[in-house]
Amino acid sequence: MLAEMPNLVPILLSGMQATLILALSTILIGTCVGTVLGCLAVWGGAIIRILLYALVTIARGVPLVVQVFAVFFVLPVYGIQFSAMTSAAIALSVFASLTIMEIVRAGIKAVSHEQYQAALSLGFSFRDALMSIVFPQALRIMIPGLVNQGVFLVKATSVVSLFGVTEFMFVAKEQIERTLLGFEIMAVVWIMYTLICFPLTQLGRTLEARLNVRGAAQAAS
Amino acid sequence: MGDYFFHFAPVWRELPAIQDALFQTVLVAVTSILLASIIGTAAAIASANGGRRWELAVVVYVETMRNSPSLVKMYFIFYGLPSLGLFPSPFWSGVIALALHNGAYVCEIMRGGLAAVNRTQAQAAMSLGFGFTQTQTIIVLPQAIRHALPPLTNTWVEIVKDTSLTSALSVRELFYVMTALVSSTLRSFEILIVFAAIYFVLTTLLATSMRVMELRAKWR
Repeated sequence: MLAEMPNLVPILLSGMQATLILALSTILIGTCVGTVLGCLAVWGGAIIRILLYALVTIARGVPLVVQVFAVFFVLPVYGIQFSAMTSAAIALSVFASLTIMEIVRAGIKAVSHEQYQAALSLGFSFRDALMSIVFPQALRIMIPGLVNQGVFLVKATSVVSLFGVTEFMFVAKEQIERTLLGFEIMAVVWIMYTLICFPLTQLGRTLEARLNVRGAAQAAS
Repeated sequence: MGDYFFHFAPVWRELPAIQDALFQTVLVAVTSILLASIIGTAAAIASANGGRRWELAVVVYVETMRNSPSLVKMYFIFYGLPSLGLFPSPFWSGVIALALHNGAYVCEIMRGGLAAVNRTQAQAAMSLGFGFTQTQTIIVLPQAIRHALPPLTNTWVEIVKDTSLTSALSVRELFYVMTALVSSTLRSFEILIVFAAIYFVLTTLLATSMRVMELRAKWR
């Protein structure tokens, strides 16, 4: 065990780095696309709303591995070829966008419609009403949910190890097969994941308590 | 879709294998849901009534579980415990990992549910001569569960979806059979559609029946 440690630690750290890059890009893309989709779900009209609702229902009702599988095996049928890492990032980003869309939509919905109408009647343009009246209030409701979803996504990246993407879990399993130190390696992996996620969970919890406003509880659930 | 021709016959030919896989998935899901609910509820009760020591122990349990993926716990049990002379089967490794991981979420939910039950309920029960176990199981828990039912449903659905991860330990459940069938029949589209639909029906069925239960539970 001790003799293997100098070899193991850098390998595991590189795996963790890959996981962090994957998670960060997923969260970034998911937040951007999710915000746009969330606005579309509120103001985009009935057809777009129904379509987005159907998509998010599927994303929530089918396991993430099946969704990742779809991206990995169905895109090549169309002749689109990506590296395993890119495919994984695409699959996770789609899932992230749809789930974050729901948080954004709920946040906007939780701001009472009168606020928006009052802003319009005071002469705000649609854009100004959104930017200075609706979004600041919605953001307050959304932030805890977004942080919690971020933690969920960091953990969710582990499923792409099933598809041979060299992230943290995949590297860990490789090293277990090489060294047979299952107990030690998995304990280290467990601790490292906790070190990443624990501060974020605490942040989410603190924000939940701090930004607690009327309607926040319903929006986050 | 272009010039792709759907051809479902090879999938229907594998129906017995799909049935077995479905059975295995349901078995993993039901066992995990039961265990997770028992662990989570017990932890919540211990945290609420057991004094500071139990409260701290439950906090440690919840934080160690929910800050890492359930796959970590699966691999830890399956590849780690043999070092200690324990050799859990793939099925039980998966079930115990899912139960421990989601038990933490159930615990958080039940803690909220227990807090929503007025303290006077337990006090009244105690003064009527109910013992601790009777008070909890007959008076407090039924009321707590009513409050906890909606978020509990989400966790249960999460467990059903996470059963697909046990394929990593070669449990022959739906996702494992799905990947096997894709490589043997090469009809990836058709198989994907069929299996995604099965999962979707499973989770929707669970969520809907829980909603019906919620509505039927008599609210005062």
